[in-house]
Amino acid sequence: MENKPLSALQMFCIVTCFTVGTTFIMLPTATISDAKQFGWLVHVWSLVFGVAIGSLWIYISKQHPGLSLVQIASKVLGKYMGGFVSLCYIVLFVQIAAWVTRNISDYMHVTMMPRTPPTIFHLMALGVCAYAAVKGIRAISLVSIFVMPYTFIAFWIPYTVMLTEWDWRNFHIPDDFRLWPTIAETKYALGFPFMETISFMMIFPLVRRKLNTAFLGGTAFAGLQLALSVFFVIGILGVYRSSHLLYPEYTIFREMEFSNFMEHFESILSVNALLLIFVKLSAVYYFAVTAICQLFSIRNRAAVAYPLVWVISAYALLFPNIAENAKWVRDYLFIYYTPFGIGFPLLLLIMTWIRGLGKEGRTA
Amino acid sequence: MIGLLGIFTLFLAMGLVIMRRQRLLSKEIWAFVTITCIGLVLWGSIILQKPLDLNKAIAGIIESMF
Repeated sequence: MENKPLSALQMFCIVTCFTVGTTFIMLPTATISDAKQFGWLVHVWSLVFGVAIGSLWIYISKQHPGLSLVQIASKVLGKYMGGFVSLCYIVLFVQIAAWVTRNISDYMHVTMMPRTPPTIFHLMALGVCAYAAVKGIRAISLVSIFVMPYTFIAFWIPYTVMLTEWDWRNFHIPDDFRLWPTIAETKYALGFPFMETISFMMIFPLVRRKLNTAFLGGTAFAGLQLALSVFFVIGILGVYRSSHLLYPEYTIFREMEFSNFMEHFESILSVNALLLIFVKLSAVYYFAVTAICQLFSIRNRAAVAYPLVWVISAYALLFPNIAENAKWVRDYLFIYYTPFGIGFPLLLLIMTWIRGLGKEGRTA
Repeated sequence: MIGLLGIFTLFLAMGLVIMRRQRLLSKEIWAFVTITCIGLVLWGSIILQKPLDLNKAIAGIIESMF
């Protein structure tokens, strides 16, 4: 594992990029479709959930200073049980990488390059991200420091201009809002992306100062942006139209008109999407590679990173189309993520307490 | 399928040559070969149109549980 520490700013930027990542192109349609004009509220309570669950992960990590998720599992649960849990997390990280890769190719295929086979996008993206993973998390986090401010400005300035199209009547659709049924219906928004961020437990030991502020702040900042962007989508496009579009934010950018000589603003959104997704993919790729290296005591990351392109590029092809992907996310994602985001961390915490392995146990 | 096997052989051979030159440990060489082979199996299953679909398997398990 790398020894050079990460600053709080690096952690904040990488968490923000990771959380916004594919979410802002994948989720708005689903949440607006399920919660109508209250779709933006779904993202607000999801971010509260993300911050709460993130606090649990940080607490566990602080019980085992200097250890990553895989190392904590091995220490607390023993070689075999800990190894099994670590292996489950490795599969999860590889799956997330494959799904993110598929999201890139779907987006590019639908919006810009309909004739290019998805595998071309997969191999190009994975080649770059494998190289980034070999270079290390510092390189990825430094990229995120450059990417985050640019994407923030390039997204929000043009997006705010579209407020001229705002119509408050879009929020006055007759609809009974029932909190718990809506939470149950949109539970996938809790898992994606807020349970995926458990992968950051792999690099918690690298952040020596202000880990809480960096990780939880990054999660909250990204969640607020997601909620606000969905609020804008509803206000600008309306519930009916935005819930029937694949990428409503893309449509808003496509319909922007500043003047006669500035057009096709959707390309800005596409560049933004690609930059954010590449940071997310590089990060999760790095977590997968590091987890494998730590579990099997491998020192050379390249020996793991490059062959993983084979696995991830194949796995990314398993969803036949976007509709199947969206259905899987809606029906199964939250349940699938629950053991990883809540179950295993709670198990680690309870075993830490029982065996007196944590920092508090040792000092008592 | 022949093309896939060709690319696999080329990738494996190049990787092994580079790893030999860098004098990597046998554990690392084994990791490289194992992960590449898992990738080959996945790709092979897709090309033969009998995909080893983990997404479907997970969905099936969740359906049977709830």
